[in-house]
Amino acid sequence: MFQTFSWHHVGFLAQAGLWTLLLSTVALFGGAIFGALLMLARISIFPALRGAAAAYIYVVQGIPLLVLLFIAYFGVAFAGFDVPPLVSAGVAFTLYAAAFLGEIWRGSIESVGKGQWEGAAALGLDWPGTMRHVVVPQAIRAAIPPTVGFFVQLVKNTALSSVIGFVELTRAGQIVANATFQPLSVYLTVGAMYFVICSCLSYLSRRLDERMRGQGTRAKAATAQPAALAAAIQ
Amino acid sequence: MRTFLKAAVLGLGLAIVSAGVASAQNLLDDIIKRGVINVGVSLGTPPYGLTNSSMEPDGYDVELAKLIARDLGVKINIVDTVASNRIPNLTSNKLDLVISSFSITPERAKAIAFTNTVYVDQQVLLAPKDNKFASLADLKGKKIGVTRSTTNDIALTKRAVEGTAIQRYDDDASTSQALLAGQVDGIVTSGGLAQVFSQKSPNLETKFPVASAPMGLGIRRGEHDFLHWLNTDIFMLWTTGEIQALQKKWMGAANPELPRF
Amino acid sequence: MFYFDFAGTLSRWDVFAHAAAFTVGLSIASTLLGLLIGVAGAAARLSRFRAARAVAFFYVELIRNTPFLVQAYVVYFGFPSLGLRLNAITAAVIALSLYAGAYVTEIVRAGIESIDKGQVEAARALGLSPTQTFRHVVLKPALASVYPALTSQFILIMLASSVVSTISVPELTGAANDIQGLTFRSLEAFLVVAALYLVLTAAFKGVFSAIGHNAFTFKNAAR
Repeated sequence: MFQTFSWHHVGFLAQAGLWTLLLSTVALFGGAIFGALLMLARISIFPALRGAAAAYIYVVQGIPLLVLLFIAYFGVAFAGFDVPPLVSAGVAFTLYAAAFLGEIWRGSIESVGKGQWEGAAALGLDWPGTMRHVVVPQAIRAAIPPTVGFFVQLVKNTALSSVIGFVELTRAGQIVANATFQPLSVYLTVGAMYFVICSCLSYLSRRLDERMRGQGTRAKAATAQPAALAAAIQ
Repeated sequence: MRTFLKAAVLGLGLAIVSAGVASAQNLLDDIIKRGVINVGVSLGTPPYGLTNSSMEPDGYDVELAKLIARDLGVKINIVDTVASNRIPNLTSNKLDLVISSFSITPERAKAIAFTNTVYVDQQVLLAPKDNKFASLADLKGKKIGVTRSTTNDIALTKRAVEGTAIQRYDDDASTSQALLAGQVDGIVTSGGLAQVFSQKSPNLETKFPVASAPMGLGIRRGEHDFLHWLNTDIFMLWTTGEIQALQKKWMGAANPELPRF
Repeated sequence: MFYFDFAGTLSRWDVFAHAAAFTVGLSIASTLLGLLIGVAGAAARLSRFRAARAVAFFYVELIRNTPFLVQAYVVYFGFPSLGLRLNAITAAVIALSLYAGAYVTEIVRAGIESIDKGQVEAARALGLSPTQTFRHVVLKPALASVYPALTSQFILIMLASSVVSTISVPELTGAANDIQGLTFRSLEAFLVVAALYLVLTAAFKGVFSAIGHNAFTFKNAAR
């Protein structure tokens, strides 16, 4: 019944690593959609909308992801939805990612200088037009490096979904550790797999950041704020 | 980009709605109609639930689940379920059935319904040979690991002498790793698990029984048809000797009889 | 149909209070140790010695690119096979401090790099020793400018400490898990514990901003 830790298990772990990547990607896209709405609410002219979005972000950033995960996991089910673990974990991570991405992107939008808004207004552009043609194109460039940086956080944090029984890389590690009695080798392998995924992404984020910073003083000013925010949340 | 976003939002919404309408009138009929049963098993709990060398779920609970699915005539979907999530996963409709070294207690039976017994286990203290533990009194000042909110936890918490340091882990995999890593002086666990571990690791031995634990299958309360069908099937699997064969295969010996309600 | 029943959960308020105090203590100890590691790490990252720079860089990358849960498992379950056996609480403090240290290293390094080179040269010209210069001209203003990032790091450590319940540390999330095992009311237990974390977060944010107002009255020279 018991086995020695072998390439066989490494293959099993690598397969579970794909689930980790899938869950992270689901969370990134779900969080991007919901986070964009939050960002719009945060910069809107309606105080109630701004307040609601701010409260949401405050709550999600103020409780541990592990607890959020348990609440979403049991809450989705108690609300009467019968969904597979990938979906309930996906929902939890989407709620989590949205709060952070919303704030990162708000920083990017606000880093676009007031002069740009005034200039656009002088040219007769309305609010959607200004956003679409002037602000967002500049903000996106500033937002890409911290967004990739946050994706690293997502990949790492999906490890917590092992606790609700979603078999991703960390839960696969637990299962293999218990079948082989070799926890150190197993967890070091698991750690190495995360390291490979995350350090590639971190490197990408840094390179993008450097490239943005290289593009003259205006772009530099635009990236400074979200980059600082990204550093603070990491 | 905009159409993509719209499509994505719409798709997500549809997925949630269509998942939501699958609520059952009668679980037994529903399972047969949908052709698949969702069974919760902890895969970190040998010999009950484990992952074998071809990385497939295996063990006593898994094989029993397969027999039940066979008799129902449906496909089986094994869902890895850590011990502390067994009841929440049932009450929140994530699972139809829990077969996961699930000891019957009156407290648990207030939250969920148990079938008849499928195995009677001894909860034992498993510890390294060097530790001279003869009774619970010897555990004073020692670190003893259990899996959180299992009957092992309940039994030890109720009976332990004052001064026993009870360490609680989230699942059996962590509890047994704590023992193997020497983080605890002993663990209270099922007799089946203890036997497997002392075979694999010769410096571990079973010290003494802490309590006896009849195990059943767990389902949601109020599903009387399904409960009755399961009890019927357990009776038949015992009569044909299939349960005894599984007990012998995984636990080394079969129970002489199974107590019934 | 689902209904809420908080009675069993709330009647165990003493367990929650105890565990909350434990979480706070654990977070403070780990943040202070993490701060020490982080300052040392930042000094190493900016050191003249290539080896020190490389070690610090590798440490930061290793911690920042692996999940904290896996780090905690390696310290608690893995280290004993190397002959290093730490009890759960010590293992948790060490894992959390190492985790905090990596992020603090980067925060402090960014703070130090934000100091104008001219200030250092001026201090040296005024006859301050390298150590004095580092302490008064580099470290203090750097810490003042990174204070907000450090305080949010403390909050993050407090939230991350929830993870060590899985290695049997009796902190707040572990308490919620124990109580849901007794009451079978999982959602209620986690909602209560989420509210407690929010209260703790809000309280610490308030305390930190009060301290910040008093301690750093001078306008950030670093900026």
